[in-house]
Amino acid sequence: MSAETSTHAHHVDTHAHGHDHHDHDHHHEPGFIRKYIFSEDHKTISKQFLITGIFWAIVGGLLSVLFRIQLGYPDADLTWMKPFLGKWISEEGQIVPEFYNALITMHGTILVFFVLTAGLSGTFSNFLIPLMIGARDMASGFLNMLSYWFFFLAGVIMFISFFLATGPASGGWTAYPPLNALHDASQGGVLGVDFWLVSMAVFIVSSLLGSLNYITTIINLRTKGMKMFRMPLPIWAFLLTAVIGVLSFPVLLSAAILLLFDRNLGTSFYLDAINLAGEPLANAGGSPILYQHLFWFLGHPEVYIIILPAMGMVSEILSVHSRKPIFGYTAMIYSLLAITVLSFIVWAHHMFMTGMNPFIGSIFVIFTLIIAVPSAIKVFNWLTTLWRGNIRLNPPMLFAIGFVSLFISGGLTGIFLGNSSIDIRLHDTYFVVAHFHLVMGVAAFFGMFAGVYHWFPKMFGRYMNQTLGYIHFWGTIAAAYLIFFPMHWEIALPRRYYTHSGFEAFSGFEQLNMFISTMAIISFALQLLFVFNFFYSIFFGRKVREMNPYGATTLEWTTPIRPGHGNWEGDIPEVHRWPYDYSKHGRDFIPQTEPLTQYEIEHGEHGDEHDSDIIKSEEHKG
Amino acid sequence: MATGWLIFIAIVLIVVVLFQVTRTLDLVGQLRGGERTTVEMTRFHAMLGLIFIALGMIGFFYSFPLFSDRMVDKHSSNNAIIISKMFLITLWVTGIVFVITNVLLFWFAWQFRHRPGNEAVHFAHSNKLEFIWTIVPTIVLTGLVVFGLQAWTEIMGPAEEDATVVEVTGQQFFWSSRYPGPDGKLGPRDNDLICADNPLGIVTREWVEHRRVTLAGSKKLNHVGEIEVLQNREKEIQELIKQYTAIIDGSPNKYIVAATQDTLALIEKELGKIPGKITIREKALDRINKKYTEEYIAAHADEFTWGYDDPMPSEVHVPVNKQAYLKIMALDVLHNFYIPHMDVKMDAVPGMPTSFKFTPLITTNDKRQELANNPAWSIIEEGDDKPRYAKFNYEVACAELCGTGHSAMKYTLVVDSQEDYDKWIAAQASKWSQVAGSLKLENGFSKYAPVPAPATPMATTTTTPSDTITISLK
Amino acid sequence: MALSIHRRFIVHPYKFNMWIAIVSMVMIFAAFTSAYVVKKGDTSSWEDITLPSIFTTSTIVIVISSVFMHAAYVSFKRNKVQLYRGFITMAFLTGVAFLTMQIQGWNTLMLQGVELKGNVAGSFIYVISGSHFLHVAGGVIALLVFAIKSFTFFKVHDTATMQRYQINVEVMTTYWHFVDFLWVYLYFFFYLNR
Repeated sequence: MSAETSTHAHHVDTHAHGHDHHDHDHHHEPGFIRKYIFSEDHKTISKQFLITGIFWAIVGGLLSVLFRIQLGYPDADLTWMKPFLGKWISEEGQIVPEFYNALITMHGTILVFFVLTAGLSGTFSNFLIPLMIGARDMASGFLNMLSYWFFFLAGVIMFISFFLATGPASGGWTAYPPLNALHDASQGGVLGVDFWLVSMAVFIVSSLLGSLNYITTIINLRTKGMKMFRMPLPIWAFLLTAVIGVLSFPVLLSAAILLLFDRNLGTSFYLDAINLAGEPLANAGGSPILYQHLFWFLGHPEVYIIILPAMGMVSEILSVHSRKPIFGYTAMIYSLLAITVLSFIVWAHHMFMTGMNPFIGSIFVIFTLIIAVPSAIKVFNWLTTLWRGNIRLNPPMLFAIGFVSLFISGGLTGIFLGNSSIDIRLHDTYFVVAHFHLVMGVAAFFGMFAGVYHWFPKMFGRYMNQTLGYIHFWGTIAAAYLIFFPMHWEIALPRRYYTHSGFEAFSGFEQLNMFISTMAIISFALQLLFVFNFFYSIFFGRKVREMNPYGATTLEWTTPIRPGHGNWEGDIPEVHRWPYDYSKHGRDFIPQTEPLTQYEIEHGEHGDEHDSDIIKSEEHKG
Repeated sequence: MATGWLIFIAIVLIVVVLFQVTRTLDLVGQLRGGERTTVEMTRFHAMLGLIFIALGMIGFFYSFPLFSDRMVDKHSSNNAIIISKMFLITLWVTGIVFVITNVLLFWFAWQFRHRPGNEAVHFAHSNKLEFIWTIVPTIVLTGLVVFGLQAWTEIMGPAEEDATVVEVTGQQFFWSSRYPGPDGKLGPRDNDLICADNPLGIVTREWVEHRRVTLAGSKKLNHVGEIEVLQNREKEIQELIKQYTAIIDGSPNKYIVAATQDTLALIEKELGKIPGKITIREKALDRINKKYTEEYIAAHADEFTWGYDDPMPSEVHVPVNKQAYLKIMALDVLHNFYIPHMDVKMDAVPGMPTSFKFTPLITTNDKRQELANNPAWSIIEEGDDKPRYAKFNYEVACAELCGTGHSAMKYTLVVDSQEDYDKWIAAQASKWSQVAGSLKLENGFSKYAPVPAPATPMATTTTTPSDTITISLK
Repeated sequence: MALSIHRRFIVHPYKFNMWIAIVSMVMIFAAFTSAYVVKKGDTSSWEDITLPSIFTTSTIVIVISSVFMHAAYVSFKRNKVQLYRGFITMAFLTGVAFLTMQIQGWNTLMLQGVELKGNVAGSFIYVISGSHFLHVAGGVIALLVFAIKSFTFFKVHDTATMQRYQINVEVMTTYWHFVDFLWVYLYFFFYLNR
C-alpha cells in the first residue's frame, strides 16, 4: 500500500497538473471508461460506492430473509429453492444447519463492512467532503479510485466464496478461532474462511486508502475562511470516522494475517491444546482470547465508524429542515470527539464472558457507561434542535427523526449490556441482537436513507419520488420496530441457533418468531421499493430547477445543479460564517458565503448571544 | 406453478399501479404549488407521527405482560436474583428516558411543524441546558456503574472453600462433567493422554501406560499402536495407488478410468495427511516418555491417584442452597456453558480453563411443583402420560457459536436437596470405583493397562480396487 | 485546481497522505508487537530465541541506506543531479542488501531449529520481520523507479517540473526513513523482549 503511495505519487501529480489547465478552461471531456468506471471524480466514485452498497444490501437482506424463514417458519417447504441453493436445502426442503450458520455469518459481514462501512462512509464522505468544504476534488483522486476498486475486489472475492463446494465462512462475522482457524471444525472452515480473510484484507486496504484521503482533504483542502469550527457537522463526523478507521482497521489486518498463518502455515498464535473429534492437533502455546482482543480493538470502533457518519448527516438534515441552527454545535463536535477517543478503550465489553480477569472487566464497564454520556448529549441536542423550529416533514427529515428515535431505543439497551453483571444474562442472546440492530443497523440505515433522499438532487440533478419515499419511511420504521422491539422479549434465547426446539427453556417463542420473520420479509420488500425509486428517479425523476432547493446554507448548494469535475465553474466561494445560520435576524437562512455584518457575532465560536436573538424574534412576532 | 405466476403478475401490477398513483400525487403537488403541498404533507405526516408514537407506546406497555410468562423466570439462583435486581433498576431508568424522549421527538415534530404563521427561533446553544444534560446522565450512569460493579464483584468473586466442585468440558457437540470423587480432588488432565478410552485425558499411571500402548503398540498385549497402524495404512495406500494407476493405464473403459481417478484422488489426499498424523503422535509419545519418568511419577505420586475415583456422570447434579463452583474447559473450539435459569454463562476456551460459581436456590423437584400452578405447564402434551411440569429440568446450552451442532449442545442440571445429592454422589462414586478400581496398580507398576479398543484410526477408504469399480459402475 | 490546492496548505497533501498511511502502518505493527508482549507474559511455553547476528548487520545497513536516502533528498533540493543519481542508487542497493540479509537471517533461524510452525516466539519473529520485509520490498521497488528516473527523467524536463517532482522525492524519503526506523524499533524490541 505504502509502496503504491510512493510509486504512484508521480502519476497523481501529473494528474493534478492536468487540472491546472482545468482552471484555465481547458476542459477535456473524458471517455466513457474514465468518466464512469475508472473515474477519479469524487462524485462518480461516491455513486459507485452507493450503487455497490445497494447491491450488497440487497444480498445481505436476502440472506437475512432466508434465515428468518428458518427461524419463523421452520417447517416451510423450501424444495422450490433447491434449483438455486442445491445441497444447502435438505431433502425435506429445509435449510441445512451449516448453511444457516453461513447465512448469519455472511449477513453480518456484508452488512457491517460492505454496506454500512463502505456503502455509507464511502458514499457520503466522498460525495460531501469536497462539496461541503469547498474543494475541487479529493487530495488524491487516484487513491480514491483505488479505494473503490479494492472494495469492489473484496466484494468479488466474498461473492465467489458463496459458490465454493464447502460453502462460505460459517463461523460468525467475528471469525473467532479456533472454530475459524481449523479446516475440519466446520464446512465453512475448509476454504470459506480463507476467502473471508483475504476479502477482509483487501477491504481493509480499500478502507485505509479512503480514510487517509478523507483526512488529508479535510485538513488541507478547505476553502478560504472554512475554519475547522466552521465545518458542517457531517464533515466533522466523516473526519473522525476516518481517524477511527486509520487507527483500528490496521489492527484487524494484523489479526487476520495471524489467523491466515494459523490456518494455512501451521503456526499457533490462537491455538492451544486442541483435540478435534479425537484427533490431536500439533498446535500449542497460542491463545484464542488474543484474537478476540485484536478483533474487538477494531470491532468496537467499527460500530462508531458506522454510526458517526449517520449522526453527522442527521444533524445537518434536522437543522436544515427545522430551519433552526443545530443546537449546541460545539457540544456536538466535542461529543463526537469524546466518542472517538472512548471508542478505543471499551472493546473488552464484548468479552465479559470469556474468562477475562473480572477486575479488568470492571474498568471496561466504567468506560463503556461513560460513552453513553456524549451519546445522551447528542440526543438531547437533536431534540432541542426540533424545539421551536419550523419543521418541514419530507422524507429526509422523517428519516432523520426516525434515526433519532431508533438511536434512542437501541442505545438505551446498551446501558443494560455495558453493565457486566447484567451482561451475564444477556451475552449472546437475542437481546443483544435487538440492541445492535436498532442502534447501529437500522439507525445507520435511516441515516443513510436520510442522506440519500436529502442529497439525491445534488447527486443526480433530479428528485426522488416523494410519495414513495413517505411510504418507504412509514413502512420501514414500523417494520423495524415490529421486528426488533419484540426481539427484546427473547431475552434468554441464545443467538446463532439453527433451532431452539431442543430446549424446554427456549420454548414458547414460535409465534413471536413467526411474527418477526413476517415483518422481516415485509421490510425487505419495502426496501425494494426504495431501490426502484432510486434507480427510476436517476433517469426519470423530476428535474431540479433551482440551485438551492432546501434553502440550505452549506457550500454544496452553491455549485451548479449538475456540477462537473472540479465542482465550481468559477472560483471556489469563500466562507465567512458557520453553517447553521437559520432564522437569524428575521432571515430564513444566511449562506456560509455571505460575510458577517459589522456587529454580527458568529455563532459556534462565541457565547450566549442567543438570548438576545430570542428576544429579537419575540419582538418581531409581537 | 400457474398460480405462482398469477400471484407474481398480480404483485407486479399492484406495484405499477401504486407507483403511478404516487407519481400522479407528486405531480399534482407540484401543480398546486410547492408551499401548500409542503404544509399539507407536513401536517399529515406529523399527525401520522403522533399516531405512530401513541400506538408504539401502547404496544410497548401492552407487550410487557404478554411475554413475561414465557420468559425464563429468574429466581432459581443467587446470580439470577442479583442480576434481576440490576435489570429492574436499569429498566426503570432507561424506560423513563425511552418514553420521554421518544414522545417528545414526535410531539415536537407535530407542535413545531411548518405552517403559515409559524416561525423558527434562532436558538443555537445554552450552556445551562447543555450542562444539565451532561451532568444528569453522568450522575445516573455513575449510580448504575456502582450498583453494577457491586453485583459483578459479588458474582465473580472467589469461590467459597466448601463449594461443590464440578468440572465441565465442552466439545463438538456435547458437554461432559466430572466430580472430584470421595478424595475431594479432581485428577489432573493432560491433552496428550486423550484417546477413545480416556476422552478427557485424565492422568493416572495406568492411563499413561495405556496411552503409550495405544500409540506405540505392545507385543505383550498383542496390540498394534496408532503409529504403526498409520504406517501400515501409508504402505497400503501406496500399494493401492500402484494398482489404481495400473488400472487407469490399462483400462479401455473410460468410465472405469474416471471412477478410479476419483478414488485415487481421495486416497492420495488421505495419504498426504498421514505423515502429519504420525508426527503428531510421535511427538506426543515423546512428550509422554519425557514427562512421565519414574522420578516424575514418584514425585507426584499423590496426584496420580486423584483421578481414580472421579465420577463422570451423564448430567450435572448440585445440592441446593450451597455454592457450586464450575471449572469449565473445552477440547476443540470455543463453547459457552449456559444455564438459562441460573444466569450462569461462561466461555469454555481450549487451553485456558475458566470458572464460574452460583448458588442454586430451588431444587428441580420444587421447581416442578412451582410450575404445576402455571396453566401453560400443567397441560399434557400429545403422546405423553405426564404433564409438562413433571418433565421439567434445568437445561444447559451452549452460548458461543461452535459449528453445525451449536444448537444441539443440550445438557441437564439437576438441583437436589442435600440428602438426595449425598445419595446420588455416593452412588456415582461406588459405580465409578467399580470401573476405575479394576485399573489400580499392583506391585508398584502397571502390568496391565486397560485393554485398548481395537485401533481403527480414520480408515475412510479401505476399499479394494474391484469394489470401487463395481460400485461406481452401478 | 492546483492553484487552489497549492495556495494554502502547510503540509503538501501527498506528504500528509503518507503520514496518515504511516500511522496506519504503525498500528499494524503495534498490534503485532502488543500481541507478542501479551503472549510472552501469558504462556509458560514461551521459548527464548537468539537473534541471528546478521540482523545486527542488517540494522546497520538499513540505517546507512536511510542516510543515503537523505543525502539524495538534500542533493535533489540543491539541484545536484549527479549526486542525487549516486545517492538514490546507493539507497536502492543498500535496500536490496538489507532484504538479502533478512533472508539470510531467516535461514540462520531455520538452521537454529526455529521453525515457523514451532514455538509462538519463533512464529512471531517470522511474521513480524516478514511483514516489515514486505514494506521494505515495496520501498525498494519504488526506489528502483526513482533511480531509473534519475537517469532518464531530468533530461527531458524543465525546472518547473523538477520542482513539482521534489514532493515525490520528499514522500519517498519519509517512507524510507519510516521503514528504517521501524526496523530499528523492531530489532530493539526483539532484543529486549526475548
